Amino acid sequence: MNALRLPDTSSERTFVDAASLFRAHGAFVARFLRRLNVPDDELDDLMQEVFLVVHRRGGFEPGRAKPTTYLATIASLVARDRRRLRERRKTDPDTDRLTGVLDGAPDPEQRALLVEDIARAQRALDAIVPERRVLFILFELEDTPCSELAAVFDLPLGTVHSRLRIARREFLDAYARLGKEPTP
Amino acid sequence: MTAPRRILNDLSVHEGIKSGLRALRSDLPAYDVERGAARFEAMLAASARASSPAAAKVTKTLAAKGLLVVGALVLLGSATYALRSPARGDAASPPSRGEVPAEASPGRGPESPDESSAPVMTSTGVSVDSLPSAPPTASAPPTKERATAASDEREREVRHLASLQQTATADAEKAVQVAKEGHAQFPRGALFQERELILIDALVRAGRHREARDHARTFLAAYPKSPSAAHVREVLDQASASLDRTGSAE
Repeated sequence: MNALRLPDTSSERTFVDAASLFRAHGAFVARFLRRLNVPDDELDDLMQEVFLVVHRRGGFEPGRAKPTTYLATIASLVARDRRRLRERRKTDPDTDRLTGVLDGAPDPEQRALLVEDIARAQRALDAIVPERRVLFILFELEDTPCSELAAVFDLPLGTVHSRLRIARREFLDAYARLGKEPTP
Repeated sequence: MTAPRRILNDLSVHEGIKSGLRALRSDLPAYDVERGAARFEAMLAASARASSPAAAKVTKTLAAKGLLVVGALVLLGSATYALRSPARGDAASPPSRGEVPAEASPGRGPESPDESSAPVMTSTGVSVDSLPSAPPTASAPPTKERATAASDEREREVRHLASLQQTATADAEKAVQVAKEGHAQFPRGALFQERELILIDALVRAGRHREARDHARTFLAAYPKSPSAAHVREVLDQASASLDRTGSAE
């Protein structure tokens, strides 16, 4: 993936500081990191790292991309670095993690199905090549338009489309494959 | 090439797959943004102090090694794993390096915090024995209740530190008082070093050089590798010089 276009620190421009971004969009970043399968016990540390990077880059300059998309690009880099540092744990979502979702599914059978659905979808998501996974998450789960993805990742629009198609195929193939495997 | 259709809007995709995606969309982390933001701001404040002119050299070196982030996180973020303060009584002078702090009391279990376990003030400042020591390494996973209580405690400590930082910019004497209250209130707190640094600076600004010197000496004995050690050494020199000038040095 090409280098991100990041805000410079020209004094005449207006930037949103990192702490304000944290309060405004922290929930989005936490959700996005979750989509990247960051375990709960590492979530807060990675959140701190994401916004520290934002801070060191001078904050966010409103412009071509929404702040959430900008933050997602940074979060993906931070998560990637963390992944490289340690062996990633190949675990399904645990029930603690799913507490919020399960609250809406009081029936035990319904809960079991929901846990299974999430675990399978998450594993299918993990099967997508990382540089395409970020695009896929933003497009499919966060409803980000392709034009914005092209802008913030500095990619031609056709390349974004192409990568999303490949990512979609990777996801669907993995999802189908996981359905045939016995549950671990 | 035309834009791809989203899976959830694609009639040709099997409903089971859409169900999986919908479930994934509804899987939200229970992350406390306000608490995270407070921790972040406290970390920035700590970094700013570490970047002060007195500590600029150290900070530059750390940044060059890519350790600035880790250092700040270690100072403020790794709360659970930070050094903890045992309840000790009447210790006297600063100990040798071997006594400080990480392996100071490996066998001790968690104690219930009370005011008697606050860092002990002595003629040389703060007893090193009363400085935070490492938590026990082998213990059962905490229950949710204990984890929540610890989390609330951390949040209160972060808020106290933010308040202390605010006070320290305006009123040195008041900052000394608030910092000491913080030590008493959070005897095993993860932000002990942060409070102690503010306390040392405030003591100097309040003209209480003897106390500042004693606290600085004890801090350096306990945390010789702290990112703020260079700054504390400078404060120590400054306080000692001031005491020499007034002829009140010991």
